[in-house]
Formats: sequence, structure tokens, C-alpha cells
Amino acid sequence: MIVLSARALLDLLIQDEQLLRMLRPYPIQQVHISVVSIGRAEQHIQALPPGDPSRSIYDSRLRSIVGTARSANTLLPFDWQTAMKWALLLPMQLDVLDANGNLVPLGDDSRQVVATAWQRALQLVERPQPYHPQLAPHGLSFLSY
Amino acid sequence: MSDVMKALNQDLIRHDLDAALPRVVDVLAGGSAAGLGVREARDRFTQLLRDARAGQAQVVGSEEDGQVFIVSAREVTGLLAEVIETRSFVEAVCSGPGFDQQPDTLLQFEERPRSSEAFLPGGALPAMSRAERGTDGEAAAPYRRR
Repeated sequence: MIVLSARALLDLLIQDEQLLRMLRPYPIQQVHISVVSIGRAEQHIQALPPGDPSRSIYDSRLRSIVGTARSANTLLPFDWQTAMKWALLLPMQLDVLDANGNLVPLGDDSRQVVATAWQRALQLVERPQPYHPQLAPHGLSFLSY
Repeated sequence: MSDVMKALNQDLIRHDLDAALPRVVDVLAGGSAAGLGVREARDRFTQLLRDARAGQAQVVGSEEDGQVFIVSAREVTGLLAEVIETRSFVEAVCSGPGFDQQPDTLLQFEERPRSSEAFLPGGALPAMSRAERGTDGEAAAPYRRR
């Protein structure tokens, strides 16, 4: 069972080949998506200029993904148990690489998705990140692409 | 009950429409010679339609030549469940709307700056001026973010 990180959901929207290849063997019921990631993806789509035709394409794609997850019951809420895990992650120094290869702190909402994976014992699908080895001893496992 | 009627019953119980439909057509064409009268065949169809109305079977469509297809709702549900279980996530998602078009703009993920840093005590908050703190002996003015 796996859950897509917020970044992986965006890569799914742009049909990243590496991600698609990795996800291909997984049946619908095994791929989960956090509502937090849905919100982040929506925010990125809304940030596109209103006249950009790509906006409606991404919007359709996101709705398709959400519809698939809803029909398979794999859309994950952010509940209080997850919030307890999130609270443990908040003070930690967790770094990720940005698009330019610079180290930046893992955002609070990305930590919510990590907490969701942790609470539900799901593998987090994400590109390799410097913070992964830090959380492995806590029982979190990652599926990189 | 005639042998034909028994066989037809078995076909319908098994939902084996491939066997049942030609048998009925044959009976209707052959009439009483096949052992099943038109009236019995009509009664059997009436029963099937009654089952359909009760949700035990469902009419899912017909063709121009008048053939009507009747299947069990339970079987359709089972088939759908089987398809859903075996369908891959990527296949399901990428067959949806929007994935048949190519966007010109690529979305690029960016981490949002950590909001908690703005509220960490001792350092992250901007220092208040003397006017904002209030003078000695006076109540402090409400903090306003600059």
C-alpha cells in the first residue's frame, strides 16, 4: 500500500514517465492520496494564468484522479491521529531539494502528508530526498522514483 | 413441466443467456412441436421481467432487431467489482478526462515556506518598537504585525 506525496501528485498531473512506470503495477486499491496533496495540487493549478489553456487540462486531470481515488475509497483525510504524528514531525529539521537542487525545509503541509503515511503505515511515494534516512528509523518507508 | 421448459429454467437460473435465448427463439419458431407453447414462453418472459422489476435481474439494452438483453444485476456488480480490483491505478487515471490532451505549461512543485517559523517564540517575531510596547507603567499597546 502506498500514498503519493504532494510532489508525486503533481508529477502524476504532468505524467512524469518515471513515476508512471513505477506506479503501473499497482492496482487502484493500493494507491492512496492525501486530501492535503489534493489541496496543494489545486493551489498550483489555480496559480496558472486564467487564460492558460493548460489550466483546464490540469483541472480535468485532477478531478479524474480524485474521482478514481473516491471510487476506490483511497482518499485519505487528515484526522486527529495523523495530527499527533504531524506534531512530532513539526519541530524536526527535515530538508528537501528544490527544483534548483538547493536544500530547503520540508514544508508544513508536506509534513502533513508524511504524517499521513506514517500514521497509516503506508509507503510514501516521493523522489529521493535528504530527509528520508532521518525518518526510516521511525518506521517510515519510502518508494522513490 | 416439459424437458425444454426445465432446460430453459436451468439456463435462466445459471444466467446462461447464450444458451437460453436460442432455446426460446427455437421454441417460439417451432411452437408446440418443441414441447413449449407460446403461452408458456410468454409466461416465462413475464416472470423474468417481473424479476427485473424486483431488481433480481436487469434489462440493460436492446438492439434494433428487437433482441432484448437481460442480465442479473448481481452478476453485473460482481463483474464491475472484478474489473475495479484488477484495474491498475495508472490505467484508471490516465483513461480519464484531460489525459488525452497535452498541456503546454508544466507544473513545478515548490515547498511552501514553513509557517511555524513566523510564530516561534524568541527570534522569529519582529521586534516591537518602544511605542508598540508602551511606556513604563502603561498597558502595552496591542501588537500589530508590520
